[in-house]
Amino acid sequence: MTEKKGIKADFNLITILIIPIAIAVNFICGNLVLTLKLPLYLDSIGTFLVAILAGPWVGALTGLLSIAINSIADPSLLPFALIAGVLGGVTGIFARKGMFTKFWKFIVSAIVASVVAVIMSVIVSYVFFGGFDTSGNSILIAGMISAGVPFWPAQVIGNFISEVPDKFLSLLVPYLVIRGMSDRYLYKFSNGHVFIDARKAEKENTN
Amino acid sequence: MKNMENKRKGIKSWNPLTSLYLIIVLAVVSILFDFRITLLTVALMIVLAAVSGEGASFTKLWLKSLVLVCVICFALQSLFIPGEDVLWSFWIFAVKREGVQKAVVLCSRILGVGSAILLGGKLIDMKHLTAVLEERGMSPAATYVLLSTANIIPQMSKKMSAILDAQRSRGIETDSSLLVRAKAFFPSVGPLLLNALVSAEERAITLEARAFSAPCRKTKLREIADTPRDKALRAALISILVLAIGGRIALWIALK
Repeated sequence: MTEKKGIKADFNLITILIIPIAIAVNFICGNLVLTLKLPLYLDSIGTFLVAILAGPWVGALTGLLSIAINSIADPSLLPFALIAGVLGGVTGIFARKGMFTKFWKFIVSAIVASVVAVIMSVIVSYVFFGGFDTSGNSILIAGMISAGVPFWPAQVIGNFISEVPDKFLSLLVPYLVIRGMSDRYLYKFSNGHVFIDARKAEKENTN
Repeated sequence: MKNMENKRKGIKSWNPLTSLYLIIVLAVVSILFDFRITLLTVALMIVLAAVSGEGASFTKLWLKSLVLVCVICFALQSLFIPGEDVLWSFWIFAVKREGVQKAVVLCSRILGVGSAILLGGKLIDMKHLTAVLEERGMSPAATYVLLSTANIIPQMSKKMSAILDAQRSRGIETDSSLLVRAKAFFPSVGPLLLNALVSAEERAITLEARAFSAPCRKTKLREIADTPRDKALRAALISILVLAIGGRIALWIALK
């Protein structure tokens, strides 16, 4: 069987069906975090899962739509749709290159994703909210600035503290879920062959 | 059916595409000019919501989300943007002129666009909008994604609370120290995700059995009227948009 390629192949029926589910997962996990009172967002688990399975275009679209739909209830979230979109895209590209097949590769991709997230959120919160958005970390940033830390370092540190653990955990969940998926199911997605090939290679190595 | 449609008041009786145009025009106009115009457009939006019978719910949501954001944003901006010209100071806090100017611009932008989006969410029926968009050539796959998201979220919340209850009954603690609560996260999310993926496969089979991707013309369940009034309104809205952008450019040249 030939390898599936192109944007068109990324958006097959099962992918289209899984986008709404991913958006719902984002939403539910975001709420679960609130119920468990954890100091994180974890509202992009669904986006990352879809991005890893179906590639950068689907990932970017899911990220964008997910926050855009949430912003009907809270419009101040809308600018963050950009970050989610870019992160979905980046994760999708990494997944296609086979960066989610081994644990050390997962760590590398999680670090890259966190760096991208920090840079993007510093830019977005500066452009749209002047550096102080409504999340908890803007209080932290404000505290640092009044303690004498200059504006930009305070922004970077503040976003770093909130983004890095968040992105790490958000990527860990899909990584574990995909490891538990059957080949038969993985094959339905355009990135599925990456994981199937990696599994085959691992089996051959152990034999 | 006819009766139900007639009950929709004000903007809600418009063709959803016309309402979408209105929202876009309101959002663009509110960010093009300074904060006085923004306040005017926002006031207009509240009136429009009230005319359409959504006044109370719109205002409530508006106060709870946008006004709160703007107040926080304004306070932080005016206190922490570095500047020379101190207007008012208190203990270690000082309100600077530069900060206040920046805060006014930012907050009016957030308020303008945000209110427009909120109004859109209240006035436009997604089912109707997607039906119209599909008629105009949007792919059914895209409209499916938009519509089914709204249906899946409540379904999944139900499933999530069932999973949480099940895990609690097996002894997972959900209200203890931070570490314990964090540990409860994985066994709650895992089943949810796997469940969701399996149900996606089932949906795919169901949709295929109903000829979702068959390459033929499909019959519509819902017909949405596009009256001459709607067409006229859309033309008027587009001309307002063009005028506003033109006016802004003219103003910008005049100021230079």
